[in-house]
Amino acid sequence: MTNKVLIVDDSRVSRIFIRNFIRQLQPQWQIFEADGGKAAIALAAEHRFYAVSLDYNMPEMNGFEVADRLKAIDPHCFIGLLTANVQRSTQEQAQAAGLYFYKKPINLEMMQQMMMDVEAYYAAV
Amino acid sequence: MPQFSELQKDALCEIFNISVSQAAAAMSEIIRATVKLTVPKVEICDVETAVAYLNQGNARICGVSQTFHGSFDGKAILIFPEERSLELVRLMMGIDVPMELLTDMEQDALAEVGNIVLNACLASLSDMFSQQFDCELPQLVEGNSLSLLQGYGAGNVLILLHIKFSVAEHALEGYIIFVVNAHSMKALEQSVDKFLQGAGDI
Repeated sequence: MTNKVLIVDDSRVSRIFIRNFIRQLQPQWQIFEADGGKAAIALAAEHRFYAVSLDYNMPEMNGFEVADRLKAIDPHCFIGLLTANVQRSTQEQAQAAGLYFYKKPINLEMMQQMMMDVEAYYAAV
Repeated sequence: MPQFSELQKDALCEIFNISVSQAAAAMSEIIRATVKLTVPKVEICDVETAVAYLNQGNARICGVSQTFHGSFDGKAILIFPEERSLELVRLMMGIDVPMELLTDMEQDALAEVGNIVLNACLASLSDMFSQQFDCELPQLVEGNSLSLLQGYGAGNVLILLHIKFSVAEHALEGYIIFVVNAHSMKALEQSVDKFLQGAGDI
């Protein structure tokens, strides 16, 4: 079965970066995109995602609020929080919520790390 | 007025979001509290529009500005409503400092905050644009928003960054503005396009 990945980011540019890196690293993955929390939750209700790449600073709902809703739908899904908000409190909150933390700007190394984390996450489950 | 495409504006938004977030992290370390940021909006506008925006509820403002030079030149300005600046200094120094001492230290403290925050911002911009920016020393600015920005009136274009930061429990908030000289706009646009090329196929 093809793995599905969901990119949640209000920035179109960021979604383009993430999408192209994932295509490069995991060409067989099926990619879905949402420009905010509501669209992400709607997609999660329809699809079972192997991994979610989640922005933090978004209108309406921030990344933590979206993650809560996504975890309620699928508690076992891998969620990586991509953010430039590197304050210690944000990192601690991400860790407490069971989210993987990645510091923007988005680049190939960061996405490679996320792919390795996804594999390790499911190997440990 | 230069016209940026929606994608270029989105890229500018994201670039400044990242750099301001780094700056917020720096500020968070200084005041030992979490700094919240709003979702950024970028507006390319003239001075009158920027003044009208900054006048919303704040007759007098104060802040720190730092001029930078690189492939494009400009000025980054960190702005607080004037009545909140002492609160920021109090947060930096701790709550037990007497008010008269706080007032004495206010200018030094604000300059230091501005230096750290704006440098974090510019360092991040420099990384993302793969360019070096040389920064002048930070300068304290105070007055109304017109007096703050009127020097940029003739032919200059402002990148008004609607990023509001707040320290929730202290009712402290402020803005960051980038002023880019009109003759630098083409260079800025080229830098944004180069950044977008890194994304691969659009």
